[in-house]
Amino acid sequence: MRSVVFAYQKTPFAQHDNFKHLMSEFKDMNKSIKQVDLAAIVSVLLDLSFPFSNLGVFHPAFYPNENLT
Amino acid sequence: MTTVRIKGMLSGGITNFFETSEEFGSSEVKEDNVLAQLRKRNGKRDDIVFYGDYIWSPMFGKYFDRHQEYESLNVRDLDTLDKNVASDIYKELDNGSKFSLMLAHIIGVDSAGHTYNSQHPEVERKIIDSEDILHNIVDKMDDQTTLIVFGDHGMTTDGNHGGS
Repeated sequence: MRSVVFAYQKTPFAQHDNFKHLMSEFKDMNKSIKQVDLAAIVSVLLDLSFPFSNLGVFHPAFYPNENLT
Repeated sequence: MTTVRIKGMLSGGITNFFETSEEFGSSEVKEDNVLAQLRKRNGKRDDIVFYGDYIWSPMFGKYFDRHQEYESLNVRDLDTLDKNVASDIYKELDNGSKFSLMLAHIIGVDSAGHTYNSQHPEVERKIIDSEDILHNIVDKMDDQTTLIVFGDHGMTTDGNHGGS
């Protein structure tokens, strides 16, 4: 059995209509989310600095819609 | 397994091999982590809440403003912890989601895997239970909240830690 990550919010994520565009901008980024990325994702969602020893990367799917230009 | 994973997820680092020794008695986390950053910014406000397995509290207990831990040593008891944690979560959400970060840890699926195996009907029942909890959370949460659901490890066919 594989482990997965599921995310939900009532206002749409960027993925809603801009995800394809985002993914082409982030070609180098691995499409899978690694466990180590969770700290980075939570930090961005809460508008915090990354923890000192952070090695994870943020994933573009978690951008809120209005932050995209 | 679990303590090492939890530390890794909150600090964003690769936890090293030697920390497996801490599996048998988790101690306070010294590395910088998401909760420390949140506390540094917000000070002591009703910010970080935790409901779930008691193994979290020796490591991160000092960051929690409201919390309730339940013991999980009896892997044959698949329901008590999940039910208690679910009702704690609902209380927080019904009370107007007054938190910056809520951590909740339900353990029924993992316990069912350890006690039986991944194909056992009890595992299926716990997955359905967990889905019910998620369904209720989605119903109750407000528009400013993001829900993130993840497992700290996969499950092998025999029901133990592993998979990817």
